[in-house]
Amino acid sequence: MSTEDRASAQHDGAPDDGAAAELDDLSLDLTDALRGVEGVVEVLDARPVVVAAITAVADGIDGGGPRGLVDVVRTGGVLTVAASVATDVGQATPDTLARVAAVLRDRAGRGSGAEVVVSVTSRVIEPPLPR
Amino acid sequence: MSDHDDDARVPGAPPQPADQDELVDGRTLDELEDYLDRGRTPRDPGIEASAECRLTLRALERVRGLSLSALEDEASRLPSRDDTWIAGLIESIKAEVVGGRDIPLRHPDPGVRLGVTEAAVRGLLRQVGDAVDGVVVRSSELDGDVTEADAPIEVTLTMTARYGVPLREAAGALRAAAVSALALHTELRIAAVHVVVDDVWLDEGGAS
Repeated sequence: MSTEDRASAQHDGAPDDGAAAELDDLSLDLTDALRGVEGVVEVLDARPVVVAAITAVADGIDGGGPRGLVDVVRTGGVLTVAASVATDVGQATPDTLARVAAVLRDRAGRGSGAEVVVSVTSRVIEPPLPR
Repeated sequence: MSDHDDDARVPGAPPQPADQDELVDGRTLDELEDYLDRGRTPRDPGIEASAECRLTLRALERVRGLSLSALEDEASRLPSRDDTWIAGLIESIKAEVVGGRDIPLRHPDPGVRLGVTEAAVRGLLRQVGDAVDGVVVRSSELDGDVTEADAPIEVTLTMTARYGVPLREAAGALRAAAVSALALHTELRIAAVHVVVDDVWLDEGGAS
């Protein structure tokens, strides 16, 4: 964790819990922000399956709080942000993903001083569910 | 979702509570059907945040719609055939919801990588195809290197049609819907769309 911090790795007892918590907060903030992006139907879990499974187990043990679904990793001076979303079939997916990327870059880069690399994947294209 | 690993099973080992092959991102089809029955409420974040589960839920909704309309009538006449038909469709759907290859989308910023999964595109093709009157998409294939921008891709859609539907027109409508959807949601260079009609079902009026 000294050179690579990953959001949602708060359960591993690493010494730099503060940095991990900061990334967790950023992940949560980005998840909330993406829910408001035009053309995004849902924010999906972008973390690797193993990380997601470990987190789910840990949440089951300690109750867990709200957690972000955007994968945020800091490696040295680079902040890598990966998001998976379900996109609205009624809108062009390339345009929706470009909007998502812009939001991620803007919010993740704000005041961090790090180089931000963004990856966005649509994993489902569907009509929005009635709310 | 992780790859299935049948070879990892120990011969003679006691059966697991749910066969891994039957799971969609850790959930059984029964669980997903129950969730659908409850109108997807209360919201289950674990299901809703999973692409595989969402694709499966949408597909199950369509299969259920078919079961309740056209196929219900057929089931009363040919129950065994109907079971096979539905089972085949479910198997095809389960195979399609796994992510598959990443299909890239262009972006001017080199620090931004955008993409759509193959599963999302296959789900899209099924969705737009099923919207064509009298057509059910059984499976879809994307042939070619979808991970490479500008590589020529051939799409093969296998469909069944309601009895009495003019097949040439139905196939043409399906092809047009697929081309339109792919142009809107991907940047694939579609070299051809092949439509295969492999079955016909009887409509509720029993036009046989």
